[in-house]
Amino acid sequence: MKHAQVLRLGQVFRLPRLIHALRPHVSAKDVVHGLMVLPALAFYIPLFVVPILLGLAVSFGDWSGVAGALDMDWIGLENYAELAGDRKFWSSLGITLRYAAMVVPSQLLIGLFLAAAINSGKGMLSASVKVAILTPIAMSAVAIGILATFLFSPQIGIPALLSNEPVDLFAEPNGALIGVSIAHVWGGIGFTTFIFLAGLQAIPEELYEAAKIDGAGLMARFWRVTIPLLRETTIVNLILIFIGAFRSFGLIYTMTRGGPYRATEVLSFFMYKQAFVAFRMSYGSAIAVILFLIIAAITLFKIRVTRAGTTRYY
Amino acid sequence: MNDAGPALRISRLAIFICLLVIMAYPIFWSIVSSVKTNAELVANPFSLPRQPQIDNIVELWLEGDFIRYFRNTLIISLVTVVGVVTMATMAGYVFSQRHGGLYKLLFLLFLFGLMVPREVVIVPVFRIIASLGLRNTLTGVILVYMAGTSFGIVLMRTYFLTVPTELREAALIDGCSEFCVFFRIYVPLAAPAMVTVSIFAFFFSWNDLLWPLILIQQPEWFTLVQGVLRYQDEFTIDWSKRSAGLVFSILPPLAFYLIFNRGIQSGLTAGAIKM
Repeated sequence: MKHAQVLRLGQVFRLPRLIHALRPHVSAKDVVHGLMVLPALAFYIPLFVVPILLGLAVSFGDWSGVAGALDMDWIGLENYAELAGDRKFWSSLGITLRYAAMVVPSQLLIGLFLAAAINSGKGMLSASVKVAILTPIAMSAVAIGILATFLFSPQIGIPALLSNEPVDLFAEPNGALIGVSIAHVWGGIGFTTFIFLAGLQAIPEELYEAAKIDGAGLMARFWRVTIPLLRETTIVNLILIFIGAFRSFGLIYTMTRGGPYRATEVLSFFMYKQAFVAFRMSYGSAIAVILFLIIAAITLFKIRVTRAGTTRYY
Repeated sequence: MNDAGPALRISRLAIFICLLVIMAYPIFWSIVSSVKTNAELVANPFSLPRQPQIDNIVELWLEGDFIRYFRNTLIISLVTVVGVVTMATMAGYVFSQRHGGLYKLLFLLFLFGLMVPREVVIVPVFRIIASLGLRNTLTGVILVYMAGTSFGIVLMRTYFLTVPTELREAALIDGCSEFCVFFRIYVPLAAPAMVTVSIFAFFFSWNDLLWPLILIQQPEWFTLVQGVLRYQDEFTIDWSKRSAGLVFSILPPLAFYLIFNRGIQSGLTAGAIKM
């Protein structure tokens, strides 16, 4: 009796037919593909995509980080209005731009120069320079910052070597910013050089041959062939370096903690302090949204440049 | 441009040697500093050690804190690397096979992830991890790192796109299923790209400061980066002990860097310019 009932239940749900109806649309391959994307999505959606939207939402509220995020008081654009009148925010933006103004040109020019030198050389030395220059990619910003702190310290660093009354770079507002910038360039120069190298290697050798036949010297070839053809690579590099400098956090945290007298308090550090030291999470989120908008505008510009260009590196 | 004259050759040589010194010397110097006594380091910061000693290093490892930081970071990194490379390989494969509809949209969503600075998500992610009760746990940090698959997916997809479709068709004719094609044909071919993705996931999870700083406040669960920072604050005048901590925190990734240098060099430019 019981057995028959179970069978009848199965008929009620028409499971076999349902499966049959689905079969033509979903093949085994579709199921396999779906299952293979699922794990990545399972982390990416809740821990990245949803937080982007939440971050935007939180920036329109007043949330200290204690209550549930959506129970907070909605205060509309108040955080942004406060930000517009916050002198600390503007000075922090100014410091970030000064930092970028020091890092970007030096890293760009040194990188271009080194790429040209490495590209023209062959053999062991050139290869070992390539290995050495990229080493910082394996190091944390904290490790780079500590190394720099040691080497710039008046007790055991280069200043102690140079004079009997060594100066402390990090006691001076400008000195501290310069010290962090040097560490930043040291850490990022390899990356920049490699992108320039990829650009240089994409220039066809025939162009140089033709220029040489036309009587162009080494310098003329560099200025007339290399530089114009590297335009696109240079813009990409410029933007990548700028974004890197704009988001610098680990070095600042390690070397200066924003000091002396807030002289190195860049935007991402200011944001961290507001959100996680002062526990003004909503205010911090508003700063992050501004940071995002600036970076997104620059990135969109970069995508347009790379799309518009004819050179393809991939 | 390989026909430089002697003057150029010499100046190039000089530049290269300067560069090698600038890049390698700080690391070498920190290793040397860690085998000096603090007194010797302060007296002669740039000399070679008169009598190399490993007291600092022994002390560092025996004290307990450092081993704990090292273990925490090792666990976070291992789980992250295995998780990220597995997920990125599978998803990258699918995105190399499917170009339409929902899959295109999902791929663009991952690509979008490369554009968004993580500053935007730190507040909400902090909140999510806290509400799961995972503050001050390694699991919390690992979960966050597992979401960082965008770069790996883009890299794996690019690599899989270069695999000729003939291989796949031949395997299908031989009766290999979709799963079998992936494991038998694509995964073995993609080994170099998987190594590159693993290395970058390793560097990131080993070296990151921001997430541990926000998610972990109990020293018991500190990562190596946090531990080394703590030494900077606590042993202000013991420079050689700070050097020892620094050296052992950077050695593992440096070793991997030297071993897998080629894969890193190629992955770097591919990832950077492609996005």
